[in-house]
Amino acid sequence: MSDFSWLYDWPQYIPDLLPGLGVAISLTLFSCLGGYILGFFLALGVESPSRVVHYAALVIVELGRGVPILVLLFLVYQGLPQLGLMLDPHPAALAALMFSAAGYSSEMIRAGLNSVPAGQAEAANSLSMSAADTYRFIVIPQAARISIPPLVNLTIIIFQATSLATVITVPEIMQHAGVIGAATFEYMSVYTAAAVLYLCITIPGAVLSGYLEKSMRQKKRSKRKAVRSLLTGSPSLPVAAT
Amino acid sequence: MSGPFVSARSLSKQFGDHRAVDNVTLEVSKGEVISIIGPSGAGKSSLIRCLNLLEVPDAGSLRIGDTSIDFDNGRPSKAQVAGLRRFTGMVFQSFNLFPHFTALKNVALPQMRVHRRSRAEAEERAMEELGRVGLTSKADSYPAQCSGGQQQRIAIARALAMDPELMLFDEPTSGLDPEIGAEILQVMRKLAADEMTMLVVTHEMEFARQVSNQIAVMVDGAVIEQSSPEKIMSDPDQERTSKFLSAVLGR
Repeated sequence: MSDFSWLYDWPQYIPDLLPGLGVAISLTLFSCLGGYILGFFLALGVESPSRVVHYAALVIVELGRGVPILVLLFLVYQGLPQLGLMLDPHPAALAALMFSAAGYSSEMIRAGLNSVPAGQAEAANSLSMSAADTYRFIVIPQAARISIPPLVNLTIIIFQATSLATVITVPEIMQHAGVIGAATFEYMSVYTAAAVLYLCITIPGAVLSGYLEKSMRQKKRSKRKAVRSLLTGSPSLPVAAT
Repeated sequence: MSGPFVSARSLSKQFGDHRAVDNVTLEVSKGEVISIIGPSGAGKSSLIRCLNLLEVPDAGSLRIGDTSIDFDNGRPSKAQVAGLRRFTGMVFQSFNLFPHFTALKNVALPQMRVHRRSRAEAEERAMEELGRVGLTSKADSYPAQCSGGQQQRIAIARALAMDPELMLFDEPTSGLDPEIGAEILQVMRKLAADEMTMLVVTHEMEFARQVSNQIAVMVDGAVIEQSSPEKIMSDPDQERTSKFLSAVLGR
């Protein structure tokens, strides 16, 4: 015996879930903003010539990428109070998501930084530009072309992961859905409404990411093609050679 | 300041167990052009990169203008590096223009950031330097829209706009076909005529012979002989030099 009323019932639950959508979006934005800034410094740390800094950054990155977000949520919310750090659900979720975003993003940012040829920083150095200026004007703008498409993807994944924060009672979409479901027993309708809300963000996000990926790749390729067709020999040489 | 403008003493640079620069002593006076020639892998590029501290020498000392650094006492300080580069421009084999900036911005931005020139001032100077290399028409083009020869000339303009008193050229024509390389050599000839102090790593023997005051021959990381172009080309002291010259000149 099946009940198909959920097929037309679900939209009525959307308004009740909207406050949760706001929480999910703000969690995503703040954890990604903080996480990517942290990820940038972790990327620099992993590339550091100092072994201590390199390994310290690497450990943080691998923890952020390797430990499931659900585990991070419980560690922060229920584990840290034992060490004397008590966080409310919302900041605890923010911290856990930010830590994960930092770990994943640092590898994407590092790939971008490494894609910029060494000659670019050398040229800036030889022109006496400071290290900060070299990053700001020369390296980061070129690295961004490589890093931004995967970072947009990661942002979508973190947005989906905010649903996990329901387990530590953050009032995001799933928390609202669970409460309404328990009261009405209309689980199919309520969770369908929740799924639709997530899709409202993730599908445009995926389209944006696909568009960025395509346009940045084309930009790069057309430039490379132009350069290659105009050069006769290979201009790049390893550092140690004459 | 007295004596030569550039004075390198016993510079050495090791990469792993390969000694790229081996105890090189070199002096360049104001207004002099010195060409560094030699077989591939002789350490010519490594030497010129050491002079701009893109590679930090392991031993020896270096003075450019008023800044001197003794590498036997460890790595140079930031201030020393800045002082040494302040009066030095460098031109690379692979141009290394900034691909995301127009030619004009490539030449203007370093002036604005390093010399704190206003945008108007920097752009005016940039146009002046682009004019000097014959490329005012390319001011609004991106590097990818310019030929290799044009890119290299923009790179020279970018270095000149920083008011260098010494220009280092690391095989500036090697990535270009000979006809286009000639454009670059023409620009360098003009610079030499304007009494710019220049150190040029090159495979262009004709250029080395006609333009330089001195030619230094490098083999296996060491300068084996340094003398006037006439002497090097016609009556070198070292057997190895004649062997190298007969190979490249095909005689």
